[in-house]
Amino acid sequence: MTSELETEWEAQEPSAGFAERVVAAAVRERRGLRTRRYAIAGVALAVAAAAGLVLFAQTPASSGEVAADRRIEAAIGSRAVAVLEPGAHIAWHGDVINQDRGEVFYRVEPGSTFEVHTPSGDVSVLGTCFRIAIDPKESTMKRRDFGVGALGAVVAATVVVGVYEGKVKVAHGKDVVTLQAGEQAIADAQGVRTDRARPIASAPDKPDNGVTRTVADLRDRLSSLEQEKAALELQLASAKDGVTKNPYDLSPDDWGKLAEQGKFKYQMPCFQPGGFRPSVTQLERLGLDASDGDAIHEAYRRSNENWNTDIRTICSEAFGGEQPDAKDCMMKLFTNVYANGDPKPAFTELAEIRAGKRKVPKDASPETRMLLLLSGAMKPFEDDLARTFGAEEAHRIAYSEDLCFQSNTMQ
Amino acid sequence: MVDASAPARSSGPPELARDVLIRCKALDPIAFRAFVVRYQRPVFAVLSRMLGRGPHVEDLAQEAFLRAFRAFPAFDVDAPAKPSTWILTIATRLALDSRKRRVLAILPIEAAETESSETTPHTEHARSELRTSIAHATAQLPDDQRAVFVLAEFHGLTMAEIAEALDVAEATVKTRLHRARTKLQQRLTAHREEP
Repeated sequence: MTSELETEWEAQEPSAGFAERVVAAAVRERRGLRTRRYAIAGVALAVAAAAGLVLFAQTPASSGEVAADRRIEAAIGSRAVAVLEPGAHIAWHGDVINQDRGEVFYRVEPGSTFEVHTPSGDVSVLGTCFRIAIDPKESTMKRRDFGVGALGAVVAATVVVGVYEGKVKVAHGKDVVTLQAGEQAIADAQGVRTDRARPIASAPDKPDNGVTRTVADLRDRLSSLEQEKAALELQLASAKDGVTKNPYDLSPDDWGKLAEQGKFKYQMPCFQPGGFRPSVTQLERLGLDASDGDAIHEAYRRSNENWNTDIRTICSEAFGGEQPDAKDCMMKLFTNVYANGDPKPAFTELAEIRAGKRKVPKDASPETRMLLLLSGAMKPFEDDLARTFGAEEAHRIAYSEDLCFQSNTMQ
Repeated sequence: MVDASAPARSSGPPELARDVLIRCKALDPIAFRAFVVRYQRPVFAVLSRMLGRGPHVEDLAQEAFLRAFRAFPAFDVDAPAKPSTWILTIATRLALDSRKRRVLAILPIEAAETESSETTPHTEHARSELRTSIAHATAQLPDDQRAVFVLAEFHGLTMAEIAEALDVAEATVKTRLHRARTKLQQRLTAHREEP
């Protein structure tokens, strides 16, 4: 029953080019996976690098002090940038800032509590933009009154806190005021209160003088640079991957390796009466126009013709007389190569010649000349194509898997 | 009675060389192409016999090979499982899944593209009828029996290999194969006896 079924229950045959389509899909998918992997890695790298930037910016300034004699921008704490106006002074350790004089604009990235202690109150935020201005003439309050207590010195000041983004909590002893964007508060001897009488001072100028380039700006910039880098690396990897070298496209180094192994490889344009003519589908796969088929067909025809002439010349010298059958005489020469039992010396000699390690002997045997002819068959074909397509394109066409070639590895 | 435990081993071409499989594991596209070229015919055969001929066969064949490509890094070239069994397992499971998702029409078998020089209108008519009978007989097999039958009879998988491929007990495979053979024999015998 099985044989009957096998005969009559005919299976569907794969269509032409199925393997190529599958391989192309697999390679595309692999690149896609790698793209996603790179993208994830890029983002991770960018985040890590951004964190690194913060550390870089913060490490020397994670604990420090700045007294501004002009407008100064300083990265402070773990995630803040402060713009100090002339006369301002701040000292900080991590996310805890002591501002004892002057006017300072802060931009704080969201995170855990960021605290600014002033002579007249404590400001705590989670992430926002605000300004603290201290006027020493207006207050005679004791620092310990505000619960900061570390300095314990008598400090006179009125503190104005203005908020530009987010929320800010200002504490003065037991008094606590929460400010929204656009609001400001005053902290002085009378406590802390919202000040709606005076308009909020404007924020420092934008980057025309560079002072408001914040950590977020830098992080964004670094992130985009890292992602760009990842994309470029991906392009590079894809470009390298995309060029899958034909195993018969041999460099002198490749020949050197073959010489060590005593192997011989060749590829040559296939033989067809009148020369092989690529189909429209084959041309499409190569990205060529149907009209390009003529030039390729001509190259095949000439290659076949020249090779027949050359091999017959060698055979005539080897065996004497006219050698009408090129294939037959080539087989005789190959038989001679194997006649000594071990063809490796002949293959090694040929590979070393191709590797540039030795010259073609003047008295080269017909067998060696045949091997030279075989291993050099692609060059004239490629040169022929180059007249129409240019060298680079000719090489691509000559070593594509979509056309008709005879290739072999012998050892 | 046919011995269900001894399916006919098909003597197909040899398995792909180990060094090529090792390159496939490294996702070398050239080696993978060799893998596709070597196993595309059995994969198409399993799928078309499971699901009937048509463009869906090529779609699923491509999916089977892509799954193999994705899984190649984990493929053990030194394991006793043959690559042919592995890819046929992937293809068979895909076919069964496809049948579960959507019942595909089991299409009639098309006439052979090339005719034998000995073919006469009479013999061709008889063959055409036989093909139709086979198509109908196999189309009536349940999916699980059809899968076992195809893998055993056409691809020479052992009972153990089929059991692993379909994730069922070996005894179940034997039962399904026996039932499939019996049903087909009955239907084809009936066909022969028709005037």
